[in-house]
Amino acid sequence: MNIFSTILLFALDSLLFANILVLVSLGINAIYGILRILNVAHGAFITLGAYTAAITISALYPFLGFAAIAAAVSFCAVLSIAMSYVLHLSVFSRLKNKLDYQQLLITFGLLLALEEVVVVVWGSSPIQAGNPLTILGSVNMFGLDYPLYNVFVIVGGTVCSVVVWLFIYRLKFGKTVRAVAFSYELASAMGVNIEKTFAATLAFSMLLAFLAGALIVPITSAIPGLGVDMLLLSFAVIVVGGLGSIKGAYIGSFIVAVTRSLAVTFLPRLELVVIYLAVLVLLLIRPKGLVPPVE
Amino acid sequence: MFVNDYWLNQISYGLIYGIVAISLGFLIYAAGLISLAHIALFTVGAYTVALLNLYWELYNLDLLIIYSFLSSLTVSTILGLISCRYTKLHFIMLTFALSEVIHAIIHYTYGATGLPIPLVVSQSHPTTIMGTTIIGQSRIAFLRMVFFNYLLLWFVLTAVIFTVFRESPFGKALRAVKHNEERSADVGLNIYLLRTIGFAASGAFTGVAGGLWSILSGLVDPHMIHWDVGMEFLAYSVFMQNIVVGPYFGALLLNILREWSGLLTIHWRLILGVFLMLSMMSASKSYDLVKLLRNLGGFLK
Repeated sequence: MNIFSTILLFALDSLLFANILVLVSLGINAIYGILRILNVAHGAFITLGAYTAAITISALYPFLGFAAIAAAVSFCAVLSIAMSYVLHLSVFSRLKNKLDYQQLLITFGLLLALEEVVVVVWGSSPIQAGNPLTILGSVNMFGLDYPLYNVFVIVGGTVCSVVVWLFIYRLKFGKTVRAVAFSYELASAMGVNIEKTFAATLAFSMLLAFLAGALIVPITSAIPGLGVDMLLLSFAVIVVGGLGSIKGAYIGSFIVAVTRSLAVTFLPRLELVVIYLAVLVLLLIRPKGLVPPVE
Repeated sequence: MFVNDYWLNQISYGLIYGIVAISLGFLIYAAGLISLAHIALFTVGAYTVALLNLYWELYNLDLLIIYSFLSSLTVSTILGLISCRYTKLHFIMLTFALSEVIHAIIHYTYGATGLPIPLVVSQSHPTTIMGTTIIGQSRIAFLRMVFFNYLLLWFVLTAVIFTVFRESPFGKALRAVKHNEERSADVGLNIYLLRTIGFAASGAFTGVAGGLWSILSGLVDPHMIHWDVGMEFLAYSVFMQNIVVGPYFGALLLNILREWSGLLTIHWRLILGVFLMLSMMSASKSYDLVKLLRNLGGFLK
């Protein structure tokens, strides 16, 4: 491998990881913007998405071929929206008047419970969903063999994040969400249905988490705790980008993904410490993150 | 002793987690700071005892605990100086990032397998505790009798110290800062300094608990720093905040719940998670036991 293909591999891997991180941290930031809570349970949503996709892909792949991926994604979408409705009614609509530590511990309890439900239902051994990865094979780019599925994830993830961007900055739904995030009372006075916006944001955030899980599962295979690992990294993303900031989630994801790739290449044993040290240094220089949300 | 070994062990662990819960509970009650770094400070205290015992062959328990107090005081002062400039969610994220950094440093320096603590009361290594030297006692007997009383002493000491802190002008100033930052600054309080001192004190006693824990468990490893445990510490500490020793009951309750649900099923995390959710969702703002039960009744109705 020459130097050029090494750099290309590095860039593609960072891009792949950044795309997944964008989906995850956008979901967390949307919830933070609306409800002012750190939704720790987001990690469990990623795991659930990964398992749903893995089950669907491994069951339907012999019959449908690549359409199984589409089936998995649409199944994830349906399940996430249905689940968000239930969770909104039972948990999230009751969080508004709680103290901050109560909110944190409630979502943490939800994370523990959902992660364990995954283990109860699907067991703790990994579920493979690598068919798309092996059958698609790899593509040769400038002397570098790169899995075609990863290219697919990069393209799909980019499309998703662009769609989300348009959703938030061009559609009425996004305008409503940003208005509620900016001022709860003002938006309510202007006739925005706050409860409906909460429910829609939760559904949106869970959809993104499920999608992130579904996209990554053919590469990693579904294991318990998959979502929590992503969650911990996306904490770093939202601290770097600024809590509740949409643009910050995009920028932060790229910074964290590149830092992680650098750390994995040069200091593999210190992967997390490098990321968090970078986060710390950045926080000391820019306390509100790189792109602080409009106050 | 009137209870059997199993319960004595439970109560011993309960006392240690009680020390953590009281000190973290003070930080939450007085300063409103929700720290996820206390599990790291706990581990720093535990590692201090393990390292001094293993490499310096120090068998003096009082010195070991004092050293663990000092080391965790140092670390928590540094962490406090970094993180106390922020509050709320920024503070949570920052303390989380710092605890991950400490986790990685300990993992990198001392390895993933952890360190054993050869502190057994044998003929060759007499152990000193409270100025008296103990020779030729079995480890179990030592932990049951002398060490248990020692734990109780530290627990009472922690409770007394944090009661004093809570009622002192220092504690009242911290609460004033918690309720209104701008006004407290106008009155002339140094917000940053107050918070840092509160964090350092709370962290130092958490380190003592870590040191005591390492002696009881006999092994320390870097995976003690897991953010799950940090969250559990938080869950202990918000219990019955209206009295100083309230968090101790939270620690006892959650540990017993975990123990029993662990005996019942391997999926004990499900039970713990649902319990956390229900108890927090039914809790009123002041979260004490009587109100908890009453509200739980109301929630289920």
